[in-house]
Amino acid sequence: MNNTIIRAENIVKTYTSGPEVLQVLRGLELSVRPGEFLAITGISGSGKSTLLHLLGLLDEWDSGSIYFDEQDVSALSAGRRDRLRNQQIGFVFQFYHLLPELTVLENTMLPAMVGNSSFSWLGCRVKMRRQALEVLTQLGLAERAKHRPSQLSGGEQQRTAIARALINKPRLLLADEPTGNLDVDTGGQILDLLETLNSQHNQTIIMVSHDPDIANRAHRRLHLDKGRIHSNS
Amino acid sequence: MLHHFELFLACRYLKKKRLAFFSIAAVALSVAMLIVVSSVTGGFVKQYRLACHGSYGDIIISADSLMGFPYYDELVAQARELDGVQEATAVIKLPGLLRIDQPGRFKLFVKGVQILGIEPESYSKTTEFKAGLWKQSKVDGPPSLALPDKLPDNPYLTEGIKPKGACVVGVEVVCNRSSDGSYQRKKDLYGSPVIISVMALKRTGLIDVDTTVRYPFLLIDDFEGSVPLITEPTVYIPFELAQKMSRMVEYSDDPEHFEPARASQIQILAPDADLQELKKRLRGIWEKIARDNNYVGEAMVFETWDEQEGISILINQLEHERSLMTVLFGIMGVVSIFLIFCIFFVIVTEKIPDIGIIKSVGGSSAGVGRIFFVYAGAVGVVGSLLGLAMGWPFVVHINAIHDWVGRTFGWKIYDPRVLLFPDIPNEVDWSATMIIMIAAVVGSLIGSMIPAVRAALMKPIQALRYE
Ligand SMILES: Nc1ncnc2c1ncn2[C@@H]1O[C@H](COP(=O)(O)OP(=O)(O)OP(=O)(O)O)[C@@H](O)[C@H]1O
Ligand SMILES: [Mg+2]
Repeated sequence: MNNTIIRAENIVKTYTSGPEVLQVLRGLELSVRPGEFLAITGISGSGKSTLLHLLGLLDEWDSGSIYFDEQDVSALSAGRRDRLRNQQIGFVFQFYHLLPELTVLENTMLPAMVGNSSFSWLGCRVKMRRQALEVLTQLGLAERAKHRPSQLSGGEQQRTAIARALINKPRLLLADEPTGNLDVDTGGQILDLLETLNSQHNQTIIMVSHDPDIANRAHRRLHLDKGRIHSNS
Repeated sequence: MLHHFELFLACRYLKKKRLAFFSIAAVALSVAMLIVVSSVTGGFVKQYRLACHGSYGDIIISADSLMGFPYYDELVAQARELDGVQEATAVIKLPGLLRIDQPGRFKLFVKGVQILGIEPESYSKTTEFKAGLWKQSKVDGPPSLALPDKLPDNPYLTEGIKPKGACVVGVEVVCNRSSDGSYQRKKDLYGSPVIISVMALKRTGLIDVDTTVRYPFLLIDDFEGSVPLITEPTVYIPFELAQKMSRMVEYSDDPEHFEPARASQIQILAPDADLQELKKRLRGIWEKIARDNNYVGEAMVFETWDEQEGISILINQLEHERSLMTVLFGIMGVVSIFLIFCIFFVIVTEKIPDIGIIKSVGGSSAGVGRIFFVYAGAVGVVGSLLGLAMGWPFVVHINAIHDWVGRTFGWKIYDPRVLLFPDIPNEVDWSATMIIMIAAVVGSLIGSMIPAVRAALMKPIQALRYE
């Protein structure tokens, strides 16, 4: 058990809206080793996004524990968790979530800016810029660096979001339906990209999708149903 | 500590958000308005004080009686020796009648006036008398109330009239004021004779019905005081003549009994002195003089210029009005803080998805709060600088603007005939302006506090899912 990058133990998550209580995750267990490319499938509403948000420390859960590098994250201070989110985890959202006021390049650099104080930013600004341009070039966005999200296609926006997720070289990349809003070709390119990242850079990836074909591109597939994970290979 | 991204995003929002310009405009307008109001009202009080001050010197010693007080020359001499006293001058005040002697032109022009007997040289050093004179203000040297060597060639100055001295009339006595606040002078009035008559008082303080005192004078100049509404219509004549007319000259009806000469008032110029302290010392000097001469008379009044009854009431009133205005406009300032609050609430609400994104990449709650705080601070700073940029030239050019509005739209808000001064004060009150600008920045921060804290406290996913 010692070499997991992230591990969820007996996670329970309920949503309460008014009198209705909806238990989405019911004692979920999951462990992921470094370097894995994992896909989680499940029908719409099964709680895939919910799970990914918990793994990305974006939301709180009712009971159970999540360990990052065997460190119980609920024991961490808010500041340490912010830091973990900033440095170790990259998140790609189903709906891109880019800042409309910033250019592609600035959106890409955002986590780097957030992770540095004004002082250290002065020192690493040039390096970060170069790194961001490198990532964007890798993703075929070099010419679009100065554009705003509203001027981009869906696929370009998603690639920008991936570039943002990668800028701080996180150890864990979480992708929520990264191809959900894209046509098959563009979606295929994104998946190629994730595959390359995983094979060439040993990037750990957890991807969520309701589409079994897309999930098949991953090396391990799990199925989320009735609030628990089922192995389905 | 402030992170780079907080500053960066605050600036970016400031540049890209139209709402930011509305809040900047709200701050700027409030600041400009407050600068104008406080400068103009403050200017009125200041101008008024200056004008009043200029008409009196710093300390006024007077007898509380038309009979005046003796030993004034001794008091003047000793006052002049005191530290801080630059000049002292004795004045005689008495009520009288002025008749303009231009037969055929006026049908017996007679007015009740206050007659002020002055020593022109020391009086004009103590007060701003000379500056108010129409003709003599342009001449070098102290003003004079002496008759010219050769009487002017004036049709009304007939053989039978032998003026005893020259006099200066308050401009409001003989001229009408036109709508722009200036006086229309009848040029042929100067150099013509007037007759001043006073009631002769006996030593007992009763009117001497058997004697009328009336002296012809040569009208040589007029005096336009800076506070026309509170000064009584006045005629200035030489001190000695006034003393004679009021029977305040020294007097003796038998060798045993001698009455010293009297004056009504002493005015003292001591611009840099502690006036309360000086007042006490003057009172001490007077009490010693009175004791040495076995004089027991009317109570004497020692006042600083702004303690005089009419003036202190008016200044107080002006200052109260000013505070009231400032409070009223301060309330409008609070309204603009509320406006900023509303605008920021909208801005933050609109930016909730951004907040989610920033938090999802590791931005802290404090960091998110600071983005909006910096943003608000910038709105406050930019807004108040802009307000200064609008308010300052407005105050400086307020008279031109007022004239232009008057010419173009026919509005005349400021009527110099009704108000005290020909112009609206146009000096920026810098200390008030500093306070206003700081308050605007603080107000912007307060107005944005609740929205900023709300933004800071949102959970990342809550913000991302916000609709
Ligand atoms: N904030 C919330 N409040 C209440 N219920 C919620 C909330 N967020 C999600 N849910 C509910 O929880 C369940 C799981 O939602 P989730 O978004 O995790 O599903 P999903 O598997 O990602 O679905 P999809 O494939 O459509 O994206 C759904 O029934 C959803 O309605
Ligand atoms: Mg989902």
